Amino acid sequence: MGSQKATTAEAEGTTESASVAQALAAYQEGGGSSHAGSHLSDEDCAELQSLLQIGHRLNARMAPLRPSPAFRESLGDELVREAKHRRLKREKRHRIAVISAAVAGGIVSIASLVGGIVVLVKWLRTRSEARQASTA
Amino acid sequence: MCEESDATLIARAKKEPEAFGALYDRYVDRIYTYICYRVGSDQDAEDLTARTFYRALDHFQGYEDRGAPFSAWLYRIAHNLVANWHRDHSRRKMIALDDLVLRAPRRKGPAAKTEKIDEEDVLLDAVRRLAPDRQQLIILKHVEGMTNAEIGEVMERTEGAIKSLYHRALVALREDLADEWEELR
Repeated sequence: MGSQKATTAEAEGTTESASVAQALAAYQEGGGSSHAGSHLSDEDCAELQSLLQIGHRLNARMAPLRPSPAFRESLGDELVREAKHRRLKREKRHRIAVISAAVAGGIVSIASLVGGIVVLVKWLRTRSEARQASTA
Repeated sequence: MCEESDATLIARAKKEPEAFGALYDRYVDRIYTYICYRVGSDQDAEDLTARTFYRALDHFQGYEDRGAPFSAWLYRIAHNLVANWHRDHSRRKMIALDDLVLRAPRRKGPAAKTEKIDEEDVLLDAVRRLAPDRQQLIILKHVEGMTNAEIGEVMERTEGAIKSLYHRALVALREDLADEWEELR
């Protein structure tokens, strides 16, 4: 019984905090609409107001920052130079790969041709020897 | 003149290095802002910003548009680098000069002018004590003005999960700040 009550209280707490979380989101993304928490209990309303105050302070304190112009410019230039360098390396690697493939293909073709010629010469010799043997 | 969409710029940047520069220009301020709030030091923020964009360049040719904004990918790279930075710094137990200044004991007396500044510093300190994912959310929401859906794309969570996380982050901040703000009054 006691554990059932604890579970119920926990579930109610979870439901209440979910309601406050929803109201918080609705308020912020609804442009600060005062109707966001209209369905909440007085307690949850007070909770929402307290959290909204923190949100307002965060908005007031946290503004976008800017890196120094010198850093911004130098890093930008550096990155573009590096990107160019990497592109050249990729293109060079691609050229080497293409040339290597062409050379390998050429070697295979020449080897095939030479092999074919050797086979033909051997066949012709064999045929010639056979003819000579039959004539003799 | 219409600005090129991210998708067009990304496709161009894979062939033209100058287009990567344009992507950098578009996002460097936001990435720097995020990192600076997370690490609290301009120099470290510059270093980590540079590393973020170099890492993006390293993996850029393999980057594919899977529906999430390009900025979400950059924020994830930055977030991971910041996490590694915090891990390395906690090992070395270095205390940044900024931290020393921020945590210096407050003087009693005619300090009315500095009370506002102290409260703001206390607030930022408290944000930096939050868990990394809560810090990330707070910065993306309150500095970049992103919606919960947009933050969800960056953090790879559902919109509902972001709403809950934001609620928990504010509750945690309120609890952390309750005593400190009381002292300032």
